[in-house]
Order: sequence, then structure tokens, then C-alpha cells
Amino acid sequence: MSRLATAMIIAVHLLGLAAVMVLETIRPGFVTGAVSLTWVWLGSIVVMSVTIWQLHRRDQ
Amino acid sequence: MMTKLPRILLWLSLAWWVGIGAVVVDHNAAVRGSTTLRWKNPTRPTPHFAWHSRPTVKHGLVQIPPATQRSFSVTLPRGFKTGRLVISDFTAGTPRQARLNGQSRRVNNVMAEVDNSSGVLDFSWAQLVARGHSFEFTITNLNQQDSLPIRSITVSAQR
Repeated sequence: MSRLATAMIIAVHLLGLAAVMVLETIRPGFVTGAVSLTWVWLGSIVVMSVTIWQLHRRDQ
Repeated sequence: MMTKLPRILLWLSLAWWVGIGAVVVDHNAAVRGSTTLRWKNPTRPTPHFAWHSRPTVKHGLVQIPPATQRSFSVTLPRGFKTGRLVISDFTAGTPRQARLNGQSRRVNNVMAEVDNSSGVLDFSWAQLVARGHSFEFTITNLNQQDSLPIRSITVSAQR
């Protein structure tokens, strides 16, 4: 797992999560009316965790 | 060069956010204006439609026997208050009369010029009995001799 790939994947998720929180602040219910924030966070955290774990495994 | 796993994870991440974006945009477009819920086969309940008691089914169609009534319920997305209920009648041209929660309209008349086999009943959700996001409606067959066959029920609702 290269550092570039890890950075790209984490960046995608952080940008996505930031966009969700900004949208939810500007227009409450815009995102939460359609999807559960719990699942949005959970999915991103799982993918980011797998990515970091893979990078860590390569470094060892 | 990225190996296989990072590439899969990257595509998965992009697909995850594109998917969430599509669901959010679709949901907000639907709740902003109007939505149409179609019960193509009233012999089976769906997440949006249900009957209170199992109806009579004949020739693959739900039949309301003469001079009887059947109660149905529709579950709408949150925030929808007014709507139009369309009942598609199987037998074209046969004068039939249905009553929706006391509002009597002649089925087969309203849409006769466009589709001789359909009936339209306008109503306000306020007239219906609300239980959560579900609304009950009763269709009464006023005909004393013939059953009222129902091919489909469509609800187009506005906020």
C-alpha cells in the first residue's frame, strides 16, 4: 500500500465527511433526511481503517 | 504505480461518496415537489400499500364485492399532505361508482376521454385517517349487482 494511495483514499473520505457536515449545517435535514449519518461515518471509518492498516502492514 | 488493493479501495471510496450523493440528491428532488406511488398489483401488499383484510381476488384482480367496502392504507414519504388517488378499473365502459371516505365519485367518468378504464378520485390527506405516515382510505362499491375490479392504485402526492 503506497503512501500516495493511502493519502488519496483518506482525502476522499475526509472531503466527503466535511461536505456532509457543511451541507447539514447550511441546510439541516438535507443529508440526514435521505441517509443515516451513522452509516455514512461508519462506512468511511471502515475504509480508512483498512487503508491505514494496509499501509502499516507494508511498512513492517 | 498503484497495486490492486489500493486501486480497489480508492474506487470503493469514490463509489461510496457518489452513491451517497445520488441518494441525497434523489431524495431531496422527490420531497421538494411531488411523488408518485404506484400499486401495480393490489393482490399483494408493498412497502407503500396494504389492505386491512385480505381482499377477494378473481381473474388475478382485487374485487370489491357488490355493496361492500374495503379499506386500504398508503404510506407516504414524510411531509406530503395532499394528493390524488387513481383507481384503474378493469372493465372498461361499465358504469361503476366508488366512494372514497364518504366522497362519492363515479369511477370511469373522469378519465373517460383519455383512458376509459380509469377512475380518478381527488382528495386531501386531511380527510384521511393518519397513523404515523400511513393514511387509510376506504373504497366502497355502490353497485348492488357487480363486483368492482381494481387493476391498480396510484397515488400522486404533493407536499
